Amino acid sequence: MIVADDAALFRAGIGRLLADAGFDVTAEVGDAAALLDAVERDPPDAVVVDIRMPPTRTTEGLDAARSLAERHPDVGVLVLSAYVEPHYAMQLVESGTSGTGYLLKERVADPGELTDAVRRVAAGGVVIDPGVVARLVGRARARNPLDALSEREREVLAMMAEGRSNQAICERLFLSPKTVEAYVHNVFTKLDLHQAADTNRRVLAVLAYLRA
Amino acid sequence: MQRLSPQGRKVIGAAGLLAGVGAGCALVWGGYEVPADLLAPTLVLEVAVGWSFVTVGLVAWTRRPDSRTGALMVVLGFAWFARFAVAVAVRPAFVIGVLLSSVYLSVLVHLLATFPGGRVQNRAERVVVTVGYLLSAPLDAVFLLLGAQRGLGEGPPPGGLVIAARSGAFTPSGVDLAVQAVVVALFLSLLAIVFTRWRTAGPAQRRSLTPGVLGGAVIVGTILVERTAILLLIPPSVGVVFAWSAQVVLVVWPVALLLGLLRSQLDRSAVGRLIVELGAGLPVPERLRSVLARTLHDPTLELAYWLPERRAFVDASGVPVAVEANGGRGLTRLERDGEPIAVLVHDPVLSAEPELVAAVAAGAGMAVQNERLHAEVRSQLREVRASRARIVEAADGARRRVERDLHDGAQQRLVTVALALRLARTQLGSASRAEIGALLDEAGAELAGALEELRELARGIYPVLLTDAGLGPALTSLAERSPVPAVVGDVPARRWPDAVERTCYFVVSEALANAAKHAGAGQVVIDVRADGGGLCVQVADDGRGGAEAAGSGLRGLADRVAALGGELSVHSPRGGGTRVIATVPCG
Repeated sequence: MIVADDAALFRAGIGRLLADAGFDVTAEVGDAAALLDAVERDPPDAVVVDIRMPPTRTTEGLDAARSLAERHPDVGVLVLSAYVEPHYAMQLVESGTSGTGYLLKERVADPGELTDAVRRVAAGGVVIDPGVVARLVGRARARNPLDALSEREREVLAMMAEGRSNQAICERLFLSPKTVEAYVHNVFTKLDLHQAADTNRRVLAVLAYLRA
Repeated sequence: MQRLSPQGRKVIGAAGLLAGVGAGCALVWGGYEVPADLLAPTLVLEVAVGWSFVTVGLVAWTRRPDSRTGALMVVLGFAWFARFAVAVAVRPAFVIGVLLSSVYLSVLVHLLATFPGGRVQNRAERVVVTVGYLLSAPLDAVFLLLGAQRGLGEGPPPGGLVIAARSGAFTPSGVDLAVQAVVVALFLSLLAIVFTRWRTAGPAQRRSLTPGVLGGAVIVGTILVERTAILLLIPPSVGVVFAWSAQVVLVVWPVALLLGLLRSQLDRSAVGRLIVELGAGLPVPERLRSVLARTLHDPTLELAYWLPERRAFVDASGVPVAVEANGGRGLTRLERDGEPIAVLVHDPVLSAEPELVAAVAAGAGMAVQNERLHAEVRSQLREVRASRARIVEAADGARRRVERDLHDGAQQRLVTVALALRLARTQLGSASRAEIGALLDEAGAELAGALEELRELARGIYPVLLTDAGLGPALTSLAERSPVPAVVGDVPARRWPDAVERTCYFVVSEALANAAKHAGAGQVVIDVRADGGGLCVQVADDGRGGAEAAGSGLRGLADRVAALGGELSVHSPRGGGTRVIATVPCG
């Protein structure tokens, strides 16, 4: 693991948290350039990077994620952000081949949330913060196709948007794989969406649908 | 040139008349035999040329006394007649005639080289004019003395009195050729000078130059061909044709010159048209200018209006313009009751005719005054628009700063607190009490920091103390927090309208921030006093000065103050500290 954040206290805390959870943190850096150098020297399984870092303090984290996706597609990138902005999350998912995640900073207070996200990203999965998904699902629409979904179906939809696999949804909702598959099938049919080939592409499809 | 008295005009006119008659007499009864078929046309043409120059020259002299051209034309006319002395078959007359035979050409060179002013203005003109004079009488005198005079006094003299006399066997000597070469070079330079003047002239100047210059160029051109014919040994019979045509042009040329000189005077009738034109239709910014430009025949004419309030010139759309007499442009200031209202920037040739410009300006007076007021309004509108845009810009900038402060400050600290609490929670079982205590301390410190930052931010967004307690306590609080030692003088205890207090507060706040950030000041003195019905705030530091009043911070303050009808001034000499003074009226 590599952690990149310009706030030293926060960076050290994240490092300690990951170490406590059994991750091997190989480097902690303060900006995007140092992150790219560190990855170049010793490619980790995943990096945790702050979206806003010096020098411009805007979206250096996203830019770094894009560079990493090009040069080290195997390295998972989890971007921590204070912005509940689907736009950034979409940008991230679109730029990365696999193993990308967009998580709100405050999730660090939730046991397991950060470590779970890091694990999924390291394994090549996509993670979208529930807060971001909730913004998309819950937004006001003139003609809301989501009204056609049952509450459970909406839950499944949100979980798909967060980047969870069918298996993960089973575990979360305490449902059988068959039931989850049926819900997923229903959602796609009702929303007139094509079933995507894999979980990651499913995220993009669902996010794109929710944003449209 | 001095003004010609009516008396003088009469004397010169009579002298010209006599000179013409004398020349005619010399030609007919002088003693030389002139071919009969040539006598009549020669006589008519020669006398016509002389009289044309003398009379038209007198008119020009009278109408345009400031130009020497008229006088030069009169002199040319007399020099023309003087050549006829040679036609009298006595030796003194011959000598005089030879000496004066080509003086008229020198005067012609002088006239054309200096047209229309009649005054030598640069080195090139001076050289051409001087050489022109040296080539006539002085050179002829040398030839006379050396006995090398062309033709040696036998038969018709060679000065060109009777054109046909040139025919026959004439073999030019080396000296002759050299002299002619100099003459050709002189005429070529003359053409170059005249052409350059014409080319570089503005449209208005060109109008007055064209007829005279064109005629002059034709004359010089024909003389050139005639001279080169001799130089190149072309049969003189060819040259005769040119010499004749040159004389025909010479008769008309004075009129062309006069036309050029009086052109603008003829335009006075245009002033009447101007008034009619201005009366028709609604005034639009460009119209007044184009009507004036048309009347004065100067398309490059510009109008700048004086705004006494801003002490600056603006164009019709209210954009400030620099008005200086540069680039050879002429300036005419228009005044009303001793107060400037506008300035005309025009072709320099119009400066020679102040009466015309003044007449036009008087004719357009009301329209100019009206247009000036329009320009003033447009200028104010522009300023208001710019200020409005800056205020919006400033507000956006402030929002951006608040967002950044929140994100990088309090929000980041709170996230760190959450993280520390989370770590403490996970380590409850495993870590020592001291380790967990350290984590909780860290969380507490971060929380305190976040609170402090939020408080500062809130105060920066809006000073609550100002509304609660008034300007005095609010400024004291500002001074207490200032990184640069700041002293607040006595602030009147009464309250002013909210907007006035706020504006004064932000003036002090911004000035203090500047003193700390840019001025490197050691101390700041804040002074507030009631000023009539309003407030006057002064913030003076002892820093390095050199602050730009147009810098974004001060500019924003100026807009703020201006929005209340007040005024902000900044005195910041380099190395002399900075003094910001805001005067804000109440109500």
